[in-house]
Amino acid sequence: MAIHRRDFLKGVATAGAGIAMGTVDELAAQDRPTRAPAVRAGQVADVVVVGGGAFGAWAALYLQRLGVRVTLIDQHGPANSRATSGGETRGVRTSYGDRPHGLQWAGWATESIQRWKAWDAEHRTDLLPPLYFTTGDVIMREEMEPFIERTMENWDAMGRPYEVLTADEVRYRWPAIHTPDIEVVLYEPDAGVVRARRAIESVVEVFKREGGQVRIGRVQPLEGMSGDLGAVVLEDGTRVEGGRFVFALGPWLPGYFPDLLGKRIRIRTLGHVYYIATPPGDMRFQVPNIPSYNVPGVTGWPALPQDFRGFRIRTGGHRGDDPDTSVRWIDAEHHDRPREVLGEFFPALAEQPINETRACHYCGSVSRNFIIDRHPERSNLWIAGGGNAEAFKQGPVLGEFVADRVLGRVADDDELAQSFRIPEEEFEEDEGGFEP
Amino acid sequence: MFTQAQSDRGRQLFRDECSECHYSSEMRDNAFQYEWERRTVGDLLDHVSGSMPDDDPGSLTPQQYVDVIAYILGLNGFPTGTVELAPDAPGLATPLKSPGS
Ligand SMILES: Cc1cc2nc3c(=O)[nH]c(=O)nc-3n(C[C@H](O)[C@H](O)[C@H](O)COP(=O)(O)OP(=O)(O)OC[C@H]3O[C@@H](n4cnc5c(N)ncnc54)[C@H](O)[C@@H]3O)c2cc1C
Repeated sequence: MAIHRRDFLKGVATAGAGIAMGTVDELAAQDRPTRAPAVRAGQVADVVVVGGGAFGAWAALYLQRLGVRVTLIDQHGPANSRATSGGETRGVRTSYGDRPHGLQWAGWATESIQRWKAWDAEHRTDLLPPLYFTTGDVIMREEMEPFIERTMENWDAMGRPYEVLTADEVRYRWPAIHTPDIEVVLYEPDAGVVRARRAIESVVEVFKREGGQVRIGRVQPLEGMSGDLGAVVLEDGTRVEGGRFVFALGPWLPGYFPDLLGKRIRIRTLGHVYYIATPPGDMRFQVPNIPSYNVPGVTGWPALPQDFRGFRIRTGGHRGDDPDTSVRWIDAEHHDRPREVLGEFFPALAEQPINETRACHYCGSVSRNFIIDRHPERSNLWIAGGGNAEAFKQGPVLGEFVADRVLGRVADDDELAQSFRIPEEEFEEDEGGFEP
Repeated sequence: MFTQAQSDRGRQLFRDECSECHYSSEMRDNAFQYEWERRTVGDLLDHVSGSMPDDDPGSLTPQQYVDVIAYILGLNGFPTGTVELAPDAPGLATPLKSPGS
């Protein structure tokens, strides 16, 4: 059944906390839109998504597929070099025994693995390797920890396959790994790695192919404190009108909404990622010859074909408060740490050159969960972000949830929706001088 | 298990060494308690001294690490006393489950 745009916007304007459910159901029941991009150009979007990272790009695609007209705006373009989703690769695992909401995340990450594979099956071209690589993930610890126990509890509850290995078995399977003092090993065979930047590019390409609009522009601060939003304004004064708005600004969120999120989202640490050159002709550190790994405080994975940029290791971080200006390469003063860890676990790489370094902001909420919630003073404005180092992998599921929330297909009192609310609590310092 | 003076030293260290990446409130919130409730003060000391600061683990002295732990214990509602927490103190075996929880 066709729905008139005017009715949709009317539903938006009057819905407030709720939404005209009949309208939304009709929207959802529609076939995919078939209007050509040119026909759509100049039309007012039903939903404007600001931010083309993992949250925004996937949300835009799912919204579009639900039959609404979507414009996606990013200040530098989706998966740009300063975006958190613009990194080379991201790990995909379900070992979340260290978080109160770990079972839920594990479920979404498991579903995401299936969706990444399906995405490759549908969109991979003959010319390029896949986006998702199953690598397996080996978690190594010197002793049993609650993180490991709870991860196994979660996996048992989900029926997810895993193996408990000994250090000897690790060295037998992957001789390039050393296991100093390692007593506890968990192996998740289905874990993997996704090509992050390319993945977002592909999501946005599909979004455009299906009729979505993409604009490059920086959305200026909102005028006024409250009330429904009718349009966002770009730096050149262009107004982009819409019925609903999703702000998926990643680490720009606290700066954009300082009163609401300044003390609820933390972006002060930039994580350090290195790509280490593997010895020439040495295949041991490439897929499928070594798994992804997790040792205390450090994660990484093998070099991926075709370009084999290097063996990935993430350690440490530095401070940066402004994602527009923060330093995105890693100064040599920090390079000892990855070498130390490589020396312990992958000694053949300890002295190898560093091919690339990259730093990006962790973006985590005080609830340590994602935020997918309506702005308290603007009922047609949604905020989506957070998740520290864990949102990318879940993008294919997160985006769908954001779309469902924004279109009222998931109710406000839904348990999951509640868990992603803007938290009431704030980060605090114990005494003054704290500026987020 | 630790003294007020020690916790104060720990707070200063936390501000100098840890606050670059961490807020003090992170050291006592629900997620922190979830992560640590099954473990002991000694486990936390081992973790912090073995992995922090993130890019240079082990770079503080043993005394500085226990001072930071004393500060974190204070944040979690553990009472101060007359004896300092030491790197080899019996107090390290104390479960971390916050007295307030
Ligand atoms: C070091 C590191 C390692 C990580 N490892 C993993 C991992 O292994 N697995 C995993 O799943 N996750 C990982 N993550 C986390 C993951 O990368 C992020 O959770 C995810 O990419 C966040 O996506 P986002 O859409 O919230 O933000 P972003 O990707 O940053 O997107 C936000 C976008 O908003 C745009 N924007 C901002 N302000 C405006 C404005 N005013 N107008 C227009 N556009 C604007 C920006 O240009 C940007 O493109 C890691 C993160 C870091 C830092």
